[in-house]
Amino acid sequence: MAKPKRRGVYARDVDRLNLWFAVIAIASLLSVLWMVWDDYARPWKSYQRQFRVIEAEVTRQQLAEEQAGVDQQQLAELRQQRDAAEEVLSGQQAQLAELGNELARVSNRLGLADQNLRFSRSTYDARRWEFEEARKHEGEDGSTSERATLDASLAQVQRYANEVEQLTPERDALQAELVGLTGAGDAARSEINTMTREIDRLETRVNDLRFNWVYYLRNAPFMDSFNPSVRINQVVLNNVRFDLNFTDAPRVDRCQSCHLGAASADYATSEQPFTAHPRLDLFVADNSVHPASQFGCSSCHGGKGHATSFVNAVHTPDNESERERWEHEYGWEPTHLWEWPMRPSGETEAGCLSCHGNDNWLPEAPKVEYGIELVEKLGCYGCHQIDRFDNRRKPAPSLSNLASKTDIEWVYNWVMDPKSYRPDTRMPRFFNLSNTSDSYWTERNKVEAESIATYLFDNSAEIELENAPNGSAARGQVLVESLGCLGCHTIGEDSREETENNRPGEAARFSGYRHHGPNLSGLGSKVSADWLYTWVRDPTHYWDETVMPDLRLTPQEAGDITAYLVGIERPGWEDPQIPAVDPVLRDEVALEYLRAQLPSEEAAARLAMMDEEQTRAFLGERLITRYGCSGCHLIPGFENAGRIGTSLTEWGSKPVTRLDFGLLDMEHERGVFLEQKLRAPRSYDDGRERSSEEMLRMPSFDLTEEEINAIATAVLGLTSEEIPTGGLPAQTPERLAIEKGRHIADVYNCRGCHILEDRGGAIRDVIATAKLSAGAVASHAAGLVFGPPNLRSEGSRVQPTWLYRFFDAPSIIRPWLEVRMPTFQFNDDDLNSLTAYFATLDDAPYPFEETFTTAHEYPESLVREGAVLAADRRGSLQCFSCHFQGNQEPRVPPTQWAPDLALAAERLRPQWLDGWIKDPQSLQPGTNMPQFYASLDPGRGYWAPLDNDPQVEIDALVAYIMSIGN
Amino acid sequence: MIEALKTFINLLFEPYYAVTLTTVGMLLLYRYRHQATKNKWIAGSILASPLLFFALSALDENFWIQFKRPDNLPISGMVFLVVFFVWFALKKAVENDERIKDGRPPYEAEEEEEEKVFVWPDLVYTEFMCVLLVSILLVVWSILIPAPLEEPANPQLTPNPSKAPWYFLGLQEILVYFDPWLAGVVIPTFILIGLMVIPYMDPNPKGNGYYTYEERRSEILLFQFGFIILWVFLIFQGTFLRGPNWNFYGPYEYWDAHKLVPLANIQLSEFVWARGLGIGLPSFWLLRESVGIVLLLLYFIALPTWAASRWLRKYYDQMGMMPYVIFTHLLLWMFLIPIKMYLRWTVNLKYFVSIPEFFFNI
Repeated sequence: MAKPKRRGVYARDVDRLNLWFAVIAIASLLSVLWMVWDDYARPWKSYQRQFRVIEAEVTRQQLAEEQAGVDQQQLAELRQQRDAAEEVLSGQQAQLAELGNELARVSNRLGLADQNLRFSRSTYDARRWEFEEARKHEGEDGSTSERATLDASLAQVQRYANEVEQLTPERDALQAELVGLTGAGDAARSEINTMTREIDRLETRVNDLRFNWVYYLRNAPFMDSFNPSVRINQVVLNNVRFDLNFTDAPRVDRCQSCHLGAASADYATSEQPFTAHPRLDLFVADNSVHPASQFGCSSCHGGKGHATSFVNAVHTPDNESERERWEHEYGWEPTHLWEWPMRPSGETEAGCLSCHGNDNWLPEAPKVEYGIELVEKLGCYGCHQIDRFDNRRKPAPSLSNLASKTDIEWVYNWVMDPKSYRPDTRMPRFFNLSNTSDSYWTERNKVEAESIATYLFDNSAEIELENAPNGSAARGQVLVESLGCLGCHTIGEDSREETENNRPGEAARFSGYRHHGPNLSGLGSKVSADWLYTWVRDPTHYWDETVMPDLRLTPQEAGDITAYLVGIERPGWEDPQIPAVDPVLRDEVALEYLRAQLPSEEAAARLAMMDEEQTRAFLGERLITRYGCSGCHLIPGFENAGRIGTSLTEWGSKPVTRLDFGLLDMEHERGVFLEQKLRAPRSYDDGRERSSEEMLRMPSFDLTEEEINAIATAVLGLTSEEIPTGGLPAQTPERLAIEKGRHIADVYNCRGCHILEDRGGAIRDVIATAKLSAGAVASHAAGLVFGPPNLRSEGSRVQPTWLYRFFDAPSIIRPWLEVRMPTFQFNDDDLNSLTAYFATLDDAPYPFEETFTTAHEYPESLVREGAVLAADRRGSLQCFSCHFQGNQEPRVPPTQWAPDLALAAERLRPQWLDGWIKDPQSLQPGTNMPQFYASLDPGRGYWAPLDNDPQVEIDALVAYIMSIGN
Repeated sequence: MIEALKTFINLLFEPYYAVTLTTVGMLLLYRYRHQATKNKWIAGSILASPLLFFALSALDENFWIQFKRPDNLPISGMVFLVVFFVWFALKKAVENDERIKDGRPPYEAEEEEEEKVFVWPDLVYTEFMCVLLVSILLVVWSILIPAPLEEPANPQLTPNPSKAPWYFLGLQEILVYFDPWLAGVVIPTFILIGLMVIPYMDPNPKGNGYYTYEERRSEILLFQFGFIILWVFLIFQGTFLRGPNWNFYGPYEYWDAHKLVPLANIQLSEFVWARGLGIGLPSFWLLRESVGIVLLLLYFIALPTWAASRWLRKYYDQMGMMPYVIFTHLLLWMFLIPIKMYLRWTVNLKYFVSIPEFFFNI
């Protein structure tokens, strides 16, 4: 039958409509399926599938290793035991079954009785309450029925309790009987289980990791909303907050959804994204200091932690080739909408500063530590506010008394180009930089430098100088090289900087221990003998805030040192001159500054009124303001001047859009900006048309790429991120004491001379070398003993009170050393902090927790016994063969000399002395102090105690030593 | 050659030229409506022009950056749709106008039986298929071009340019020329009220239920001016031609955030007192702004009064007093916008009346 033609009734051909509908319906279905698939197929899921394969491989490997490691013989024996026991049991089946039945019966009865007991107890409690209420309201007489019910209830409780008491031993006996039969087999079985537990676990895991139907079902679209095995791994970081402007929320990191092997050392060699974190001892692993569950990943690395795709997580390529590869492989593109891109791997350490921003040391983050040190040493905080360095003294010398120190010609040439006088100076160059080196600026620079020098001299005070006596330069040189000056200063091209355990920067030209003070070369071209003599005799006379200590020099010593140092001239600086300056240009520049303050006519009139000297002084004042000289130097008239640079406290959070990249064609990133700024501070002016007022003015420090990178990393770490107290390192008193102590030790450069916390001791090498070349010792190593003492375990060694006094006014402990502990300008707070620092380092009691046995409290017999032991004769320990006795030199060669034991009573902690005698090497590796007692260390000791108990003798020795001089 | 062309097109898109050209183009379209709808070549080129413009422009690197943004894409579509429907309505209108001229009823009114169709399948079935088709379009679109979600808003760090949602870009553009209370409050309110009162204002009963142009010439032109120039074109401009700092950027120009444009606008009072009379601004604000106030009074009161007895007499007679007043005021507000724009572009006029004493600016 032909289809009826419906066109006549309907406006459209229904057959065609149906056809259209079919097509559209299918397209609609396909689009929905596509949508579901698009939602389902996330990139992280494929990483999880890949990782499953890798994990299975690793687990199988572990399983194989585990199986190989099992003692097969022992296992076979155990299995044999088990089988034997089971064979025996099989002969006793009937007995076992009967016993089992009986046990089940009794256990059941016991269970019922116990249940009844609990029920009856609760009934009893209810009845008791009813009775108490009845008695309260009805009186004793009115409550007799309740009393009866209560008594009945109690009787029931007792009945059940008796039943439980009877049945319990019965059941226990049956159980014991059963165990007696099966015990041997059970023991073997459990031992087998223990041996194969790991294998069983791994086997189960290998099975779990198969791609079977359960896996596919669990992770199928829609099904995966119930309990998928492929899932987002996320940690919620309550201590790392995400600033949402009006509120904050814990950060959520999902990095481990793809970085699946990050927490396990098993994947150290796997490809990314599965590679294990390289420092699992510190990060990510659960037993590390910074487990991922608490610290996540983005807290240090940056990036968008909650994103689950490569591009969205804002990965940042390290270099151009990686960038290209990523663009190709992942469709990577810069993400402008996220303010916290992942840090390139070279800058990751910046993340440490979010929490450790105030730590003095970051030994695990050497780059950022070096960077912070450079920021401090180069005095960046003079111009740029940085919270961490608030309340610091100005980083450079005071210029208040400049006129007493040098002459204006020297200052002019120094300001113009400091590094031409002293190549390793921290003073940066302000003139003749990229934006000020055309012909106009070359002339103008002269005007500016001359004006600045003029202002400084016009406003400088003069201090009274002592007349330097005639000295011997040769003796002076010996003194400079032996007294300890070279712990903080270098002379000439001095690269001797080999300290033990150098960190980056400890040997570097700006931050090295021996570069704490200026290089002394060329001093003769700069200062007068009188000034230098006055300075070394008492540095605070010229500059009251200096950290240069007083070495307690005699006039003769100071004279010799002066003669030596002023004899070293800087070639080319013998007679510095100020070149002729174009007066017209000077007036123009002055007018420019005047017009910034005054209307043109008044400005011109004011200029006409000024003579040349006044113009220079006026200009000098304006220019010091412009260049911010007073940020680093104390300058009269600028005592209250502010900082001229941008604040760096939160620079690491500054939006990239607020940085002016000028016309340079470069990547718009914070780190890139910063490095270029440090490399060529004025380069963002390149190609721009600027008035002199608008021009950039940051000076050039002539940094190396390594220094630039370190500083940039540190500054990038200065962010606005606020970590709640709970997420910060705990501020315990111990930690605070150590941090404060380290700070003081850094300010006064203790490590220039001493090894402290296994760092420093820079001068030891200098002294050893000098001793060796003077022929005083046979080897460099032997020369090291003439250096300042290693302060390892100083806190547990000496009494806090003594230490406090010693820092305040050093006394001589090792008279044979030429190097001299100087007197520092410590205040009370410094002294207390240092004492606490040393005690805390060694976990020694501080300040009042230890009671010292005073000398007269030792029993006299014990002291006498000790004296006999220590005595200088055959058959004794002969302590004074090495130790001083008053001023009497010991008879061994000076390389083995040791301090006067008479100092011990005031100086040493008896507990330390006890440990020291027992095992000196562990307290001070390499010490000359012998290990006496063979029973304590057969390898080294040679002394056998008379009555075989070393402790008795040691007690006697301690008692004796602590009593000497009493 | 190409570069010169691009520079020329960039120039054409500057607001002054673009608004003028679009207005002239619209008027030409209506003037030569027969050719535009009947002549295949002209009709084809009108319809193809937006496609051609976007397709060729997309070859330009800088245009492509803005064009491919997921939130800009629909605006390109909108331009095409607007051109198409304006043309389509015109085509229908031209056909009907010819029929009416011949004394026949309009197409929509003829043989009413033929237009009656069954709800099923003629209406619901086809509607349902349209629903499905649009769903498919939206699903595929959302898969291929993910939603342009950004980071949480940060009041300390606003995007540059900060743009209103696309449908408000016209208002945001008006902000360039008017004080915020006008551009943000008064004018939008008048737009809403104006749209609401159209049925009460419109005295012309023709055109109900069918397309026509000749029977409603001024109504259509007025509306189309407000819709195409003051709404759609400003949205297009806000999307593609306003870059960082709300500066104007030609379609092929790179959005350099550092581009600087001189901004020196002057008040009407300065034109009169300082430049014209050379006697400086009077200190009393009423005197100072009197010229502007008088001018505005003339514009808003004298002009409609005068027109009521001249070329708007027809309307005044048909509508009556009150509706005429409301109608003319709405109209005058609408025209104040292009008037102000042209004055800004030509003589840098800032405000007609500026009384900072009361935060009052027009």
